[in-house]
Amino acid sequence: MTVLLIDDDAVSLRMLALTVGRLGLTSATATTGAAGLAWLADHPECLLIVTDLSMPGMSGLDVFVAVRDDPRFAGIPFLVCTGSADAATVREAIAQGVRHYIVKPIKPSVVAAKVTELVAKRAAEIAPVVEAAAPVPLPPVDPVPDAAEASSDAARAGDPAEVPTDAPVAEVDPPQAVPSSEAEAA
Amino acid sequence: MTADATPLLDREILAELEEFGHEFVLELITTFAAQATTLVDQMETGIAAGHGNAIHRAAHTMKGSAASVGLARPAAWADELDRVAQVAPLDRVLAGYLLAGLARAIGTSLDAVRAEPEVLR
Repeated sequence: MTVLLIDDDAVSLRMLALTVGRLGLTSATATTGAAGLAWLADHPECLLIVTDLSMPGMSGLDVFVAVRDDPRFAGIPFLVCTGSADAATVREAIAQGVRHYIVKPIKPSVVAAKVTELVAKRAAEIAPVVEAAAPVPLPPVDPVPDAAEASSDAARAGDPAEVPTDAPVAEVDPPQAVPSSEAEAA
Repeated sequence: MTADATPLLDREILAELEEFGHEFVLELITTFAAQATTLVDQMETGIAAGHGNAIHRAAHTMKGSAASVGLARPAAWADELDRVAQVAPLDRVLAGYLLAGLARAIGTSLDAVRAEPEVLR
């Protein structure tokens, strides 16, 4: 499962992607709110949405409202990054229901802590649903896991030495530039 | 503090970025430099046309990206230009002065980072 990152600033977007990658998570990036929503329509299992607030066209708040009002995306946590010093903008975001935000300039350690917190909550919420929906008998276990499985297990265990420092990033903007199968691969 | 008196680099930010690896920092700086050229062009066009909102958008992005990569002085100049751009009618002379200062600060800060790679370590 993937974290969706939306920001019209290439530097911030790259920094967010690397930070998420260091946590062992994959990310999809979009430079407009519309492109982000288009990707989300095909990936409602998204773990978390991180978006800039101030963007041309569809703002981060517009994206938040669209996600909030669409039952397909119920429960997906939302993290707003804002460089806006405009208190009115932040007040409006809070009034609309935004509960998590960080203030630019982006500090990777701050982003990492917040993303970890929100992804853990989201994973805990959806885990029982996944178990209830998939009561499939387990296949026989191979006593000698291959290298790929061992690496994957280490990543899940949170071993920093085994976690990729730059996990795959699917660029989804413009949406038609990347086939959905490529985004799926990420 | 005026923009020109702001320290060139934010070493605290740079030190934190360096924890992600030196190559990553250099990649971010390169990404910033490429984007900065486009944004300065947009601001120049905005000033010529008297479009405060276009200047505001570009300056706002510049302010955030410069601050994120530890280029403190360009961020300060962009902040001043951003504020001026949001006041109507646009003071084109003042905006032009601030854009020139911003462009100079970008060049100086990038030169500092490139000439003294140890500032990133």
